[in-house]
This record gives sequence, structure tokens and C-alpha cells, in this order.
Amino acid sequence: MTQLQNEIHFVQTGFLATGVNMTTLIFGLIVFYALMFWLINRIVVGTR
Amino acid sequence: MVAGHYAAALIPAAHRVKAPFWLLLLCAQIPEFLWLLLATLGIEPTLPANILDATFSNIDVDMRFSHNLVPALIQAILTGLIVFAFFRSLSISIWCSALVVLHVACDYIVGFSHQIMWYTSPTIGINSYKHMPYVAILIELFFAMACVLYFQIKRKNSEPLTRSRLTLLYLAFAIGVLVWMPNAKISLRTWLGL
Repeated sequence: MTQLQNEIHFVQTGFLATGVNMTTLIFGLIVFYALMFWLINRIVVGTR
Repeated sequence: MVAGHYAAALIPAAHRVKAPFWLLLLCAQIPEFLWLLLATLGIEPTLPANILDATFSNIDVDMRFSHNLVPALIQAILTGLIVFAFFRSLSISIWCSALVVLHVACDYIVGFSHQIMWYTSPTIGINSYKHMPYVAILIELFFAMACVLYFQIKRKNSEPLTRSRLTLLYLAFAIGVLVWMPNAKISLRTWLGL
């Protein structure tokens, strides 16, 4: 395995220990949507 | 659409609807959040399951409950009723219902193939993610920028965003939409050489 593959495997193993498969498409999308929700809300509401 | 849907929340906000902005953001993504829930539960399976292998043009999605037209209209009505129960405002509930309808309408232009009711019913939507994913992402970017511009113009004389926050908003949507461009046809696994 390359260094990058090793590191991805290391992080993935850590998440798997919590019961979450971090490479799942749906999990990735949930994280993305949550971040965008927080960011847009923070930018707009911050002025009110 | 992915992040571009959030920009739709700026339309009612531009009209100074007396609703918390988080509620508008939430309603703008209700069909998407329902899909994520149903996909997680295996009711609307999505393949490939691994984010490293997925591209816009190779994803096989099942969105029969979350994005097909009739179920989406039911979601819009339910959303309106729930919002009305909490906020006691017809205006807020109508805007929230409209955001749900706008979500699926946008996805029929920038998204996958959908149907009116079930798979056997007539197809609605141009399936742009399969046929022209790059153009689809650019349309999403245009939509998001247009919503921010509309918000900027409508709020020009009343509680406008500061220049720096407006710039941040444009940047957030530009990055949030364009970040998917490399994955339009080429998977993350290929990009990373895994």
C-alpha cells in the first residue's frame, strides 16, 4: 500500500471503531450538507 | 443540485419573511435530507456506495419517495402544515412549502431522472447529471449566484449584508458548487490514484 492508502486506512479504521463508515457516499454527503448549512447560516444570520 | 439548493432560502429571506433563516435553509433541503435518511435505511438505495467510486454520471439513485413529483407535493403540504403548527403564520408556511417544491423543480433540471409517481409513471426531469454533468453543475452555480444577487438587490435598502459577508456568501456558494466539478465524470479514487 502507498503512504496515502495507509493513512486513509488508518483514519477509516478509527471511524469504523465508532460504527461509522467514513467512505460511504451518504456519510460524506451528510457531512457536506451539515457544513454548508452551518456556513451559509453563519454568514447570513451574522448580520442580523 | 447539491449545495445550490441552500441558495433558494435567500429568496424568502430577501422578501423579509419573518422566519428564522435556519428554517428556510432546512425547508430548501427537505427532499434531500429525506433521501439521505431513506438511503441510509436502504429504502432508496444509492450505488456506488463508496464515495471514492461515485461520480455524477455513474451514480445509480433511487429517489422515488423523496424526489418524485407526487411524493414531493405531499412533502410540501406536510411541511406547510408542520411549519404552520409551530409558527402560526400562513406566509411562513406557504414560503416553506414553496421551497420544497422549488427543490424538486430545480432537481428536474439539474439532477437525475425522476418520475411523476413510480418508476412506471412518465419521466420528469432531464437527467442532466448523466448526460451533461459539467453543464449541470454550471447551471447550479448560475442559480446560486442569481439567488445571492436577488437577495443583495432586494435587501439593498433594508438591512443589507456587509460587503465582506456578501463576498463570503458568493464564495461559499461558488466553492460549495464547484467543489463537485472534478467528480462529474472522474471518481475520487482515480484522482487520488488509489
